[in-house]
Amino acid sequence: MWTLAQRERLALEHQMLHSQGMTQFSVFHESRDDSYYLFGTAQTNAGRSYDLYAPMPQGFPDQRPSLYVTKPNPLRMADGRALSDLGISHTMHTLSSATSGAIQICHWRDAQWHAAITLHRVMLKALLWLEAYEQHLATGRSIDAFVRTMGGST
Amino acid sequence: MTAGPNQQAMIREAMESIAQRRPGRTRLVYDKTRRTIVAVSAADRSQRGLDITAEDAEMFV
Repeated sequence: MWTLAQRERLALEHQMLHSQGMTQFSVFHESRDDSYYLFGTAQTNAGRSYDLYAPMPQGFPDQRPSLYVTKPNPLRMADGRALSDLGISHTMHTLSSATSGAIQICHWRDAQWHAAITLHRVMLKALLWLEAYEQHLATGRSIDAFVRTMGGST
Repeated sequence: MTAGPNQQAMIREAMESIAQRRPGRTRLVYDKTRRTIVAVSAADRSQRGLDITAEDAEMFV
């Protein structure tokens, strides 16, 4: 059961996503089971589209939401293997995949997560991860190699 | 399914500007119009959007 504060926070998260220009993402409420989730289709520089899905945990915002790439599924690596085959991968910044095979992006470690982190920052990381993923496709290098490049260049 | 040669070439071209960036010369910003991450010159203040770097975003901490 969600508290009033949680519901207000989720409504605020939705407004913040849109006010920050991330209108491709929205927070939805599923009335059948009173659950909340974030969903949207992200587009990369190269013009490819990816569906992103983040079910809100009952402990949100104190608990980190999981974030999945639900389409394309399977998400392939440069060598053609499914990225989900790796499971938890430090070099590719992925956590355990969903049973459907959808990739879970490691956007924040649980130990680093706190309630002040907003969903628009999570989605910003998701967009950066997708750019790094496409760089992986183009070069074969792992995502963490590209992340270092991004970090060193900013 | 994996990215075909044409797709890979397109991706490589799109990423080239990011891959060739030099420290302090460019920033990654969220372009509200294109609704994606783009690299812009550090001197370019005309970008209207969420001006945040990977470090600012605590990327992969």
